[in-house]
Amino acid sequence: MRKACGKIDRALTVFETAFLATALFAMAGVLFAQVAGSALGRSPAWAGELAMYLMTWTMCVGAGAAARSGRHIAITVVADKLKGRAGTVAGAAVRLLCVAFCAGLCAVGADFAMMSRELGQKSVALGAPMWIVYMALPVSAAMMAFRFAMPASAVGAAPLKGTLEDAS
Amino acid sequence: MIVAVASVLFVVLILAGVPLFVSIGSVTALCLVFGDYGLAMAAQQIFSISDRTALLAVPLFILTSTMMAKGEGARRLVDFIHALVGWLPGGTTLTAVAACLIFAALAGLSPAAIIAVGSMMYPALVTAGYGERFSLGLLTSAGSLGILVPPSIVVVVFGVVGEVNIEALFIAGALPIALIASLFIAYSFWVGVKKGVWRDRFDASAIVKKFVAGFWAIMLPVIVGGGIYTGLVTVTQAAAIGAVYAFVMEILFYRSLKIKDIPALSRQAGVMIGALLIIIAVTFGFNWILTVEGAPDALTSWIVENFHSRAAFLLAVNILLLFLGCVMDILSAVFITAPLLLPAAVAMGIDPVHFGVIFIVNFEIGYLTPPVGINLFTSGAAFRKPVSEVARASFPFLVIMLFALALITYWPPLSLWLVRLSGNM
Repeated sequence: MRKACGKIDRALTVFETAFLATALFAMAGVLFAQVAGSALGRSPAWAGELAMYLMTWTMCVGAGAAARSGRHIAITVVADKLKGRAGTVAGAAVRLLCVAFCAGLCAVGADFAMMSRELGQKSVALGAPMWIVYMALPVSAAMMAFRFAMPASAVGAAPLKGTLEDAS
Repeated sequence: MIVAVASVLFVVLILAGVPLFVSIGSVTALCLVFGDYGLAMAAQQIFSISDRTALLAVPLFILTSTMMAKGEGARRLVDFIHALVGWLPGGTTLTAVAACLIFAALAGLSPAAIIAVGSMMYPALVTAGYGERFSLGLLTSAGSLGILVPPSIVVVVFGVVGEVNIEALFIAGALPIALIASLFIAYSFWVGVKKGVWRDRFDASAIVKKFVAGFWAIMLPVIVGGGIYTGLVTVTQAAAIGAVYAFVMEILFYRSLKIKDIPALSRQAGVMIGALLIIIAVTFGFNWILTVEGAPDALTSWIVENFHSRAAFLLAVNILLLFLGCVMDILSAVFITAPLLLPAAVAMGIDPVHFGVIFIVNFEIGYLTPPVGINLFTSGAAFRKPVSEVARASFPFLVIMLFALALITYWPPLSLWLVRLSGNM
């Protein structure tokens, strides 16, 4: 069980990193091309839409990656004061709530994406099926539920904790 | 009724240390279920994020700042500023304030600036003879100024959550920030004269040399900031140009980043983007519920009934925000309070752009106020000093900022004059 979880975790991490690198630079490139294009009087309408969908997926995959390293923003001033048994119980309760919330979000998000698929919704400029965009939510929620359930990492971090560690 | 119960639950969850997006999301889900709105509404509201084009600036600015910090651009920029103004009276402090502004703006967040600038400028300030305590206070305080300067993420988030023109917010912040920075520099100058600090000699060749070495890095804030202030490009377009520019500069010109650094760097940026945007996304659902249930209207009419003058209302807002700034970080506060307070401010006849500037300056001060002013802790950790000492060292600057806040709050033209001039209102 533990071995399988470790494998899934490593696979997810590789996927996240590869996706984030591609999506972020694609987003910057597409928008830059749009600016350059509009300066030349030809600005493709689909560029903005593509960038927005890339951002939506980046948000979801990034949120999954943030759950892995316990970087989701939380206000930990009070919780940090709880020591010993009370601290353990409160920590477990917080973790449980996070797993439950993400599992619920996954179900709601999957329903929403499937509904959109049945309705055959298409995006305005690209004509892409909308359910592909909407799938980001259930995928991300499932990733987060999995990570929150793994006891290895913290659930939340004080705001900006990550930046401090990276910068120092 | 639902909103009252939800608010209590919300506070409990937040204090228990539940991540913000889970707290907001759970409360929203409960309201949707008990209010018979259906949970599908939650997903629909979350995806309204893909209609807010202004938000695109957030991932792009985070990507740019990550590249600048990992590469060499930021350091070369500071080297140039130091050569340019270091010889002036109070020049070392001038460099420190300017560097803090640039770094905090680039990182969009204040603590990162303290660490990056502090490691370079703290020894320089102490060597010049400003004394440890003054140097500590200056760096801790100046680190908070950048969140009103492009490309600050705080401003973009405030604009999106409060539906305020982001370009106008940046332009409105220019003079207030110049005011605070000048007051800091004037105070530093006075301290410098009193302590008889040592000054660099004017060296034209060093200025030219550092300008050439840092040319590409110097052009980045010129292009991004210039584009936004002149209105040539939108904030999102400026962010896209900045990201591509930083990439080309660090990889091709300075060769300080390699292609193999890109995955790790993207992951680091992506984690920040994900943690930030997911909160904004669930906040759309939360605000939808609040609006449908009439919470902002109720609060607004209560405020209009109970505050008879604009000045009294603004004072109350100052006090409330200063208090919130002490216990909560600015982004969380923007998500939660901006949609509630902004309609009330507008009803009281306050310009939303002016209110945005007041709001953000309040939180800059909150960064410096015990018990949880995050800059105090960052400085304490970075310079290995007790937090109480950092708080004492920052105190004179805190007083200066409170004075500036009063001016900014009660003298609207300071914020709005440039906005009018630029045709953004």
